[in-house]
Amino acid sequence: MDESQRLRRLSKKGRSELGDGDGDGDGGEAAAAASTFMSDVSDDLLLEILIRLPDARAVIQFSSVCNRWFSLVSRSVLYFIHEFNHHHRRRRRLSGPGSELPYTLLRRGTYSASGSSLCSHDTPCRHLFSPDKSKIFRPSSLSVPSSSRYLDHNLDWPWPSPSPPPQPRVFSSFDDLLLVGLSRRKLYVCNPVTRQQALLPDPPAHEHTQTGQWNESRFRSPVRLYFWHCAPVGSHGIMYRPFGENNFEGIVAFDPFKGAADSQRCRLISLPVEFGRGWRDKCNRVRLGVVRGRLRLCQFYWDKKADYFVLKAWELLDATMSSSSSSSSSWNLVHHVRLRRRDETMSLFLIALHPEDGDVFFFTRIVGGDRDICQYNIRRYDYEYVCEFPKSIGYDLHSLCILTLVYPWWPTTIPVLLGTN
Amino acid sequence: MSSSSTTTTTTRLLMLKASDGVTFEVEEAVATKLGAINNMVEEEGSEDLICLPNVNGKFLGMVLEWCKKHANNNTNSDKGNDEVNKWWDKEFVMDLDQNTLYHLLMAADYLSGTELVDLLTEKVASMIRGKKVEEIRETFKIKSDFLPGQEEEIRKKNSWAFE
Repeated sequence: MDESQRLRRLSKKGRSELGDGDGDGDGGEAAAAASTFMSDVSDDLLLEILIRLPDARAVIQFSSVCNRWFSLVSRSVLYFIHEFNHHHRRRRRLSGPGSELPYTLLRRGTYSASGSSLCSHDTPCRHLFSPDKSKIFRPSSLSVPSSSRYLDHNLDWPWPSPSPPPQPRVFSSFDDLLLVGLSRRKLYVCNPVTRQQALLPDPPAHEHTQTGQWNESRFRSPVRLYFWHCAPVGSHGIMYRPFGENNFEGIVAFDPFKGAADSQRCRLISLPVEFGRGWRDKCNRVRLGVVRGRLRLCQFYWDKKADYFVLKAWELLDATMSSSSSSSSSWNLVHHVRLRRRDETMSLFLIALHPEDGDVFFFTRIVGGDRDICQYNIRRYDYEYVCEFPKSIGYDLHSLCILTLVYPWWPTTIPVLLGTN
Repeated sequence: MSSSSTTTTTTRLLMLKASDGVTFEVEEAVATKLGAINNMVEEEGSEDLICLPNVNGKFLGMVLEWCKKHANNNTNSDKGNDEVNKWWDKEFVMDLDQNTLYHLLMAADYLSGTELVDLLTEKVASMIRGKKVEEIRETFKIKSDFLPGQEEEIRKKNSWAFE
């Protein structure tokens, strides 16, 4: 009998004879093990098993199986989270496509559980779209269509009664966190998944955090910063904010952890050389986004003479802020494509970048009198319906500001802030 | 040893002896998929007979079966190898019962077969996934040993995860 035959025979034997008590003299031992798998397996291996669960929700649920499972997860929860994230990051790196994190596109507006708004210009912050695997937001009532779900839980805003609290406004997002303001002076960071929240120290001068530490830094911005429809984004601890009045003139990068002087923390990033100027750089034709953690700039406009849409996307290479000079920033043009119209009456407005797939972009689409939200996939040259266009917006298409939430495997925990309530 | 006089094109054969005395003759390239054996082989003056007192012949055979498949598939420079390995891994763990899984996992861990440990722990995780807490206790014969009220407290503290 050659070796492979012997191996095959042994393995068959191994599979068929287990548990029936005869064979190589370990039958009794084996039968006992059948009922004690989980108690015999070492802590190290049980940990390896638990970090292979798909998300934090599953881990926390299963930590209530027994004391041992609970203590493996909670005894040193930071270690567990570290191992858990490490495993999932590695797996994502290896498996490529299909390893997308769940995400949600939100329409920026007021934070409202009921969806009611006090003034006509106050549009509630609403769920616009999540792919199927994100089950974070649920309809606040059964009568609400699934595509227009609200932020459906009431956070506990400490507001002195009896006056009713003002409508909180959602200002920006970072990963799975939202920056919500009750007023200019009362800003909260909250995680809508775990419902953790923290009031930022007063007066606030920071918008994002990645490290869990809170630093206070004020900076005098060298340019006017007002862009309601294009939210600031954060990547690798740096906040990026577009500036300009009617035209998209550039980006301010703010790194609160760099250096001591304002000039070191703040710099202007000039736009790429291929960036279209003049009528092409109107604010509503440009979007900033973070795709798999990296800053992207995207420009989209209609070329009337040539009868196609132009889509350009760049990735910022120099994210380290190694130099304070604005000319040193380097952009890499990742896409420059022409999109054909499917219909002569079709118009498109770029609203957001896909946070996990750099080849996918979200648009408001108008064909004839019908409006909806669609996505365009560059790999497939195809428009795909995503969800209906929010009804309450009216015809001011440019007021649609999209925030993105991306849910990591383990929700970001918000540190308790000393000296705040 | 006869192997020392052969040409370099012939791979060295190792003899692995399990706890119950069953021996396996395997190519070095196959056995060194296991970290523990690789370490022994790399030591100067190692012998061709390796005793493994913690592994039963039945499970050592299965571990080596896995190693052999992976070693063979890795030597081919075909691009579809990854797919073949994945398919074969799926077959390998498909019908394993808890008992076999336990012993294989113990053997793979003891022999530092990292990839195999990964495959087997992934399999156990897949048996847990999508089940209810009560079903897991039943599947793995685990008794809840929480004090009264303790389980409710865990649920209450992490209510978002239990909705």
